[in-house]
Amino acid sequence: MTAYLLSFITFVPLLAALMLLFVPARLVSAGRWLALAATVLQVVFASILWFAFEKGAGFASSAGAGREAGVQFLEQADWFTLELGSLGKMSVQYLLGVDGLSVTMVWLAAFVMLIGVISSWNIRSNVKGYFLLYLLLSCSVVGCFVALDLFLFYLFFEFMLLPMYFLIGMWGGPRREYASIKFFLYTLFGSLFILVVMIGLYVSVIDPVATGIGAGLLEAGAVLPADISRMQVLISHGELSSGQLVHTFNMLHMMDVNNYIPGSLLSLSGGETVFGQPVRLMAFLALFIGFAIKLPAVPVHTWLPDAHVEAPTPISVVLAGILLKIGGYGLIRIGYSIFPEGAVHYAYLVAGIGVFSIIYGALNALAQHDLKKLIAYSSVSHMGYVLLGLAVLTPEGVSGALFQMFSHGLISPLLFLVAGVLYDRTHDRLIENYGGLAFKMPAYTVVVVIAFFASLGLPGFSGFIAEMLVFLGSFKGAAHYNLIPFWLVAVAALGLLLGAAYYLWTLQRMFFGKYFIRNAGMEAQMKDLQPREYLMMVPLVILIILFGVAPSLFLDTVNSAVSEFAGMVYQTGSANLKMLLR
Amino acid sequence: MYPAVFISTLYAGLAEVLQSLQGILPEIAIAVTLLLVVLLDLFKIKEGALLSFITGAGVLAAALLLHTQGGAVPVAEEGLFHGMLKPDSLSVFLRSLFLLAALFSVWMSRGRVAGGVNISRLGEFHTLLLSLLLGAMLMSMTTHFLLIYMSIELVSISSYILTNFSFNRKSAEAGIKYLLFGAVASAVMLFGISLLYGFTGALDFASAPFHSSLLSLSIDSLPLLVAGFMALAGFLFKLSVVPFHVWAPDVYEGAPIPVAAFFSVVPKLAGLALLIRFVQYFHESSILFVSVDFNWQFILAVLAGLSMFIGNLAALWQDNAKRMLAYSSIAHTGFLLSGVLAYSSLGIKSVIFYASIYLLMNFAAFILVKILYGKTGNESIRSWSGLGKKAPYLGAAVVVVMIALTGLPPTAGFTAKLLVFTSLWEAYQLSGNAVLGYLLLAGVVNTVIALFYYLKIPYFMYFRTAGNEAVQETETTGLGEKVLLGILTGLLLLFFFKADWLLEEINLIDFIF
Repeated sequence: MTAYLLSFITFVPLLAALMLLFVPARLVSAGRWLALAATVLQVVFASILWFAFEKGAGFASSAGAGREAGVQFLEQADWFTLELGSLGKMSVQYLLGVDGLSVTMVWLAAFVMLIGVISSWNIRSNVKGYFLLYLLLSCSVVGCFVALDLFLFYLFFEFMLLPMYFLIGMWGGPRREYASIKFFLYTLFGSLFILVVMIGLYVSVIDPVATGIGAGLLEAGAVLPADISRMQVLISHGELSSGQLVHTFNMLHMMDVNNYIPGSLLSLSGGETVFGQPVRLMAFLALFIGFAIKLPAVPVHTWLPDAHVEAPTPISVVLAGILLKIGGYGLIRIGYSIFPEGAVHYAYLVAGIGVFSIIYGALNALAQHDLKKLIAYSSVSHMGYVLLGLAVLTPEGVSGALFQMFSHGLISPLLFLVAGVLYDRTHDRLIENYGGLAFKMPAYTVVVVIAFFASLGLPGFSGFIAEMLVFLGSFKGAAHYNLIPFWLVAVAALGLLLGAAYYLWTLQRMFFGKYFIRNAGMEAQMKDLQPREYLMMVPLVILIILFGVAPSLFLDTVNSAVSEFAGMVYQTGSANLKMLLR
Repeated sequence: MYPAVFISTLYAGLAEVLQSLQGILPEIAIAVTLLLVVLLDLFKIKEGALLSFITGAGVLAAALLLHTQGGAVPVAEEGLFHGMLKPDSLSVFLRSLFLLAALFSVWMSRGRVAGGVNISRLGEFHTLLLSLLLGAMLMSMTTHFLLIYMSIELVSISSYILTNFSFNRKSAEAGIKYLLFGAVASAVMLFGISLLYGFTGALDFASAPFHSSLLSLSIDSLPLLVAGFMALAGFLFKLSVVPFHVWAPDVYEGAPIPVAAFFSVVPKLAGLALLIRFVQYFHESSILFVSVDFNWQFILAVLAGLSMFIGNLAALWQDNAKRMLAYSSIAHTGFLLSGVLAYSSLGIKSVIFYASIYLLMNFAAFILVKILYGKTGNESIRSWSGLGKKAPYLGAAVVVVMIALTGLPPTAGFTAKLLVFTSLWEAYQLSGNAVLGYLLLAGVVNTVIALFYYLKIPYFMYFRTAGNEAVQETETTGLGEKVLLGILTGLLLLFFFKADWLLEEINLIDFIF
């Protein structure tokens, strides 16, 4: 059964969506139950995946001369091959697999999607359409984390935009139309950078095994590592005609510089420059811009507050909980893994943008009147830690970045649910319109306090471990690798202080002091948490605390992959950089 | 009476004509159908269904003939009719596309209102559609200037009249504008052709005498370039490349919907065929196109970039769906041109792939316009507010088609753009010509611009609710149209997931590169 586990997790929602298509629209609750069933199944299978995942197997790479190493639950099938004449063949594969970097993200995606379904229970208009789109979104989000073929990844990555566009635009708040189109245009703009790099990559990268088999030099089914090296040597000497080459989208092949056609623009020896930079470094920058928009990092973050404020609560939950993580994950899986020299060369840029996001996001959060906007800016700030942790290339920093993504994926849904609870009751999210809520809604206040404290990084909650790892890693990185200056890390630490400031101040204004609500007509609505609300919040609270006191549950899974990844990026990156900047 | 030599020459000539006739059986089928429709019209038989049936049957027969023996005819080295026609594999593929488009157009002009075609003139309508088709088919298989001119005129004159087939003010204005622009473009092209003929003494630009005399020419390159560009202008006019595009928006808006759909594909692809051949031969003989002191690739790239930007930016401001699609087709021309100017077999292949997908998605878009027009009696995008919620399957089709036109996965529109971009990247990598890199970036940026206006249709259909005005159904949509729309939408998705099925067909074409 484990052979098709990843496909199953990915396509269960799609199957559910197909079933839903044939259910008449008047059976309103069918959509809810189908979506619930699909996401519960996803969570169950994602949990099986995590348990069955062999820890310590390293990270997915083409180490061992073209052999897939570290990939687990690999599913590989030919999707289509295009004969492109003089350029050779373009081979697109259905290639799924997970390693330590992605397995936790798959689980997180499934879990956040489930919470989102519960939170969607009170969607009233056009229920069938809503859950159809929601299921499509769920499929493409999980797909992003398991795809190892760049074409497939790009398909999932782009396809995500469409359901999101409609979910925000049709079920959102008053300015939903503006927010949804802004979201779509921003993200599409970013993904086109990725598209250009993708084209360049597959023009440059060949699949040594398929090429060898196609040219009759290797026999299918009996390929040894030595054969692959032999093929790579043949290719690098230009002994095969270009028509025989099989160009591939396989990300693992892209990570091995020996698979690049000599002289192609993205090869190490190409020597071409664009705008005064080697093409490979430009490609890294393009990927960085593309994924930074998704993450989002300042200054390309402006779509996020709008999208969050206008989106309905469950969509905010999904957006903050999992969609932003695809930006960080993509940067790791594609930007850092394929162009490690860019990671080394531009470490100061990535870290700088990260620190700038931390501070700028926090300052913005401090100035907000709208609770949801405050949380949106706090997301920008927290995603900055991901960039900082990644940039330093130490194992601590990278696992901090990954843990920050995971922990933010649990905390931010809780925060948006909390904001949604208030909005459901009064349709008003302005902070100054409330006071002393602790007396009226004690259970709610407890959840809010946990969410806020977890988010500001109090020990005992998962956010603390993540941020601590990031800082440990960056100080160590600043000392050892000298990629980023010390003062940058010190500035980033200010973000912790600012985070505490805006959360505590909000807590004080809204929940403590004398009970007060601006719109007195809503008085009757101010009830404490309902059972459904407990159902979505309690699991999140439990997990936040669980991963806060026992971070090894997470770290054990990712550790070996992270240390291999960080070492590979730093070493290969430095070596490549020397070649490039000769 | 006559010398025996003359008789034998006559026999030989006749024998070749007879032999050649077998090579153009599809065209003969179209001509016969055309005459049949004229005859029926003469005898006042105005039954719309019958006319559609006969035209459709004629087109199908032509398609059948094309595929049973199109490739199998033994073509003499210099082509049919002493080198006038070259029914090579490229033309077979393109003619199949034309026949398919004709079939779609005939299908769309059925029904009570027939998409704006005046139903009392259905006889003339089908006649002109067939003559346009015939002209386009001839255009796609010739390299002889005389026949190029004749077939372009056949296409143009049919188009001028067809534009007017709504028989209202706007339609008449569009028709006369088209006529004026078209006449000037033809005149310019004819002048360019006459200059080239004067330089070389040969009319077939693929022939050896043409090349040898061009190469041995002892004049300045400037007159040659001017002549070449003037001849090219005629093709670019048919392609509606900026700055030869000004006719397109008025014509699309004024013409009946099936006609506009046909215009957006068939004359454009026929012009593309000419352009491909022209570029191929001139590139091969390394005159004109890689002349030392003049970079044709640069000029074509600038025109392609301009077409994308001007087409897309102008489309942003349109509210009339047909006018918007006109500008969008100008932008798509920029992409088609990009593939051609990559000067590689991959470039031509990607262009033909793009052209096939463009046919599917443009017809799907025009069918959607027709259905939505039938529901509201209005071509304004704004007037379609709220329709998406009332007709969910229609709304879903709108989304798929618009996403395909934008070029996003999971539709074949994405694959087509991917291939064109790939050919540009490859050409850039090989030549290092910076303009190709910039064109690639321009294409990418244009995808974002395009998204903005293509999304406008789903935007109004889903995000806005209908105003107070009562929507009256002027035309009930036939089941046939919905089925056709479903097929086209399905194909757009299918050719994303299985792009190789289409590309395998394209790979059967022999290219000169």
